[in-house]
Amino acid sequence: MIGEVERVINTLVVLIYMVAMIVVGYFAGRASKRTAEDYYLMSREVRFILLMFTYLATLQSMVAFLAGTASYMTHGVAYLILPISQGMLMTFLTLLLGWRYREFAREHGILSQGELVYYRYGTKLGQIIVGVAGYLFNLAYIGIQVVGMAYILWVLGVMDYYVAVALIGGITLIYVLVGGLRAVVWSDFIQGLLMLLFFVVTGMFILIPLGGVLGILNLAVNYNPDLFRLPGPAKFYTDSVYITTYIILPLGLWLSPHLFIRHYFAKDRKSLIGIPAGILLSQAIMWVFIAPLLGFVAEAILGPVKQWPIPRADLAIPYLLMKFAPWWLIGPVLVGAVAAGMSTVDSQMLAEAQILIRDVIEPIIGRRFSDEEAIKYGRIIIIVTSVIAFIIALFPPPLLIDLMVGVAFAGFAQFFPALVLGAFIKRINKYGVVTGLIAGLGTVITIQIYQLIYKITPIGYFMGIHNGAWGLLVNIPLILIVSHLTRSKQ
Amino acid sequence: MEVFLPKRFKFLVVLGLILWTVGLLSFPFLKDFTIIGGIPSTLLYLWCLQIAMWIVAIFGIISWLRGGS
Repeated sequence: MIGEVERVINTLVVLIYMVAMIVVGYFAGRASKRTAEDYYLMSREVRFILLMFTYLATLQSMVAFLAGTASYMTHGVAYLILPISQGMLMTFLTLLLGWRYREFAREHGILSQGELVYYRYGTKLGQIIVGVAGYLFNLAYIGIQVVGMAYILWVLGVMDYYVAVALIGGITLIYVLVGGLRAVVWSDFIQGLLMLLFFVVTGMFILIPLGGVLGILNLAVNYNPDLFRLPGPAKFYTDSVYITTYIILPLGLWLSPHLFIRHYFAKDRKSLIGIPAGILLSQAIMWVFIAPLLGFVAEAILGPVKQWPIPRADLAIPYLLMKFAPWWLIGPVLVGAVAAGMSTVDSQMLAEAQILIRDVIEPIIGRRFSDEEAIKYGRIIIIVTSVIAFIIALFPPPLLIDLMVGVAFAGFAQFFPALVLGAFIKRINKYGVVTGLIAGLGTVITIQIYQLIYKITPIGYFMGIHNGAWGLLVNIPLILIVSHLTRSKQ
Repeated sequence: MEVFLPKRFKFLVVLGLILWTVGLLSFPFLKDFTIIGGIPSTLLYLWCLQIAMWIVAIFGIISWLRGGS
């Protein structure tokens, strides 16, 4: 257990990091050109290194830093299918379509994901559906990430829980409000570096004393051989769960609005490569070697989760650190974890404003806001959204939160036919897209509500199949059939 | 906006798709393991698959960069 002086020093380290983020936001805000395109997309001039770090920092959230290790502990080697599928699918989707999106977005002044649907198919309804779904699914994640970060700081005695929520939420809100995407990108650059650095340092401090890779694997195999075979220690990865998770999660992730719009602001062709480079680099550093080894060995070292002081699998890294690392490392590692969370939340906050303004409000009122209005209303939306997100996360209505979080990636995956298939199949039209979106999202949400009401677990999977796959099974045929039947109307 | 994609890139896309499909259909081989050089065979297999995919992805990126638009 760490003493009072050590606790104060760890708290100071975290506070210094937070102040640094405000400073970054301030200077980024000073460089702003006060146009909507600059506030939301940094004038579409983000270069390779910045794009790489903003993408990887946004992609790898709090979940990657702490819960990734926990997932390897719970599911064993099966969890490796996620980075494997993600890396390949997301890289080639970006190479095949990212440039087209970027050019199309420049041509039409597009800021959001739903606008692509509007300009490609000419449907405001489709645009609004994509906007509303994107907004709601992101909302719960913002709050939950802030609460997750605050919880870790509180558990490790760095600061009071409510103080941590207020600080993390408040500071992120301030630099996003002040600097827009410029602040997000520069803070992501720093946060991405800190996240990767401290993840590697964490791994080294824990893994080396345990005898390196072979020593750890020997320990893990003897402790629980189920870690190295399907369906894994939790018996979760059945054949159908494996297949549908492998397909749906990378699609849902790639189509998440806060990640998807990053294609729009690449400065040039070389800069766009920052996206796949960010995916591959963060995978190589975090997901494929260090996180699995930490996860495999966690219970062998610490005992079963239910015997831990606080029985939460995502506390594996902090508990391992307390056992193996010097006290002064706790603060910097917490900074890494908080950086991972804040760098995702800031992008989500900004994306929420883009979505609501461009995909919901403007199509409904029937006019485009001026630059001044877009920034002013965007800031109001960011504040209101953050307040809602923090309130529902602090006092969560369980059914609503479970619904929004459980459905998020399954829901984002429903944009696949409209945004990806539609880029290759020219005859897909607005009637097909609207029908497919309503049917796909409707299927996913209905199954999720049914599961929540009847307490059917695991949430997110129905009859062993990912809910997103059920949605696409309805969505894709409908989009093709309806587009075919209505081809004369288009 | 049509994008010119070089032949080598198209080949790498197909190769990437094949590797991705291999990963998709790998679950029967992951149901039990032996130890190879101190590493469980399932883990070794997935690590090899991952590294193969990274190599294809990196060549894909290079070849895409060489293509025009």
